[in-house]
Amino acid sequence: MCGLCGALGSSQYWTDAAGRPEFEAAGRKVVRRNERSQRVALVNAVLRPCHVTVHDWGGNSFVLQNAVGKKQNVYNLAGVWSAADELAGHPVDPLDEHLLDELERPRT
Amino acid sequence: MSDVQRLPVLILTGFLGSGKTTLLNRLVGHALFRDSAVLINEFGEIALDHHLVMHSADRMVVLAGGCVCCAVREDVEGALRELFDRRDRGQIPAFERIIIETTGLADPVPLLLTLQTFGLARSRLQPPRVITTVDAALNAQTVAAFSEALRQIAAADLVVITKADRVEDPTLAMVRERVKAINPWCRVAESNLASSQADAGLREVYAFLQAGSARPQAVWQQHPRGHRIDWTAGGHTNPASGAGHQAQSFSISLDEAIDWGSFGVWLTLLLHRHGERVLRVKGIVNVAGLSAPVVFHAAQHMVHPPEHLDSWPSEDRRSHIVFIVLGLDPALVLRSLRVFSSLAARVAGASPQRGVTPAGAGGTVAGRPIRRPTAPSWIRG
Repeated sequence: MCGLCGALGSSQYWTDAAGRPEFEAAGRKVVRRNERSQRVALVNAVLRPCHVTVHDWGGNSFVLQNAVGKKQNVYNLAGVWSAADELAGHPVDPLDEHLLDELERPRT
Repeated sequence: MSDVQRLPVLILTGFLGSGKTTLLNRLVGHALFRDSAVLINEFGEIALDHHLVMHSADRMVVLAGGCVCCAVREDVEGALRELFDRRDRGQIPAFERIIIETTGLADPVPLLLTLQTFGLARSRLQPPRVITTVDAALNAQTVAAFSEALRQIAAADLVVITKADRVEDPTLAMVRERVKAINPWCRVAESNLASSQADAGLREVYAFLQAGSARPQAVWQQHPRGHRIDWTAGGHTNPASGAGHQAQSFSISLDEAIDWGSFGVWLTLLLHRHGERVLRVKGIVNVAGLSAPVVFHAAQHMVHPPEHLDSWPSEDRRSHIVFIVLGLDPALVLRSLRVFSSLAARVAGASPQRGVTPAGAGGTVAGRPIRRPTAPSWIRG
């Protein structure tokens, strides 16, 4: 636990490729920092239409923030989606055709 | 602690009146299962079922006054803790397995989740196996009317069709077919537990338990269809909740390798939003950058740890994912997966970190490492 902010240490989640020997054996070692960075970028892309952003908090947790500055700190992807629902003010749905249209639209 | 020292745990579920308690009674009365500890969950405040189970009272715990899938989950943890505590202190004979009987209305998945996340269960129990009893005579009506019955079958590793002697052979075949349509991965056994032939059924249950957890490799073999989207079951309409309540099975096949990061983001969001409607999902995934596939399976909101295979089991290098769902549009699921998969490449291309020299500690400038700034002299003293 971080003595300053009280954040608990994160544990292995099923989505984590970092630390898995299979990726290293295939010559594609996944560095934890890079993996988290990619995850943050992916989640940001998904949440952009909802005006919610996510940041990596010291490689330990994720901080989500909405357009009015409300923040939540969570530890894994399941927590990210719960917090995103609350901060977006509506459920984020991967089967929502409008969201999929937005995600397919080329970014300017 | 190795798997050898972990005890097998069996979750016995099934709809009201389908023969759970009878099966439990037969199990604990049989020599093969006599050394079992039993947890019985009863919905009512006054527990009755455990009086029907002929088993040593000191190895039987009754969880009354609520359903194991919602109200008494902490009680399960407490009961397991106490059982192991008494076992370790030698107060009760060392049991070799644990059998948890749920209520007839329980969805077994939350209990599976409890056992997956509870520290004591993780360290001392093997991954749980689910046996679901299905009443041969009443199954069609039960499944049509109660989604709990559907969820119990979908979560099963072994389905025991009870009261098989009360129906004609065509009906029995239809029940078997319906069970397989809801859960193509489970083993199905038929049993007339009230008769002397029950012994063969019990040996099958024992053999099933001893076999260890089944690897979900057979996913693509059981769905060897050439279509992109394949409807394998017609669905079971629930007249009580309208047209939207259907159990359907479909499979998705993808030629291209999938980025593991975006797949994780997609599946976690899908199960977060629609977990209640995803009864089971299993898949073999061709992960970009890996020479061998990853297999995974999930039920509702719970994802089991993915397993990396040593090699491809056949020449087919495509990803295959099989869903059993309640009223999700397969075309939309496929589109969603494709869109999320394509995000990885777009995000990598647009990453602000690409091509930018990291100007912090750990980076390099002109080939020389940037060290962490030293503390100023007024701090060093």
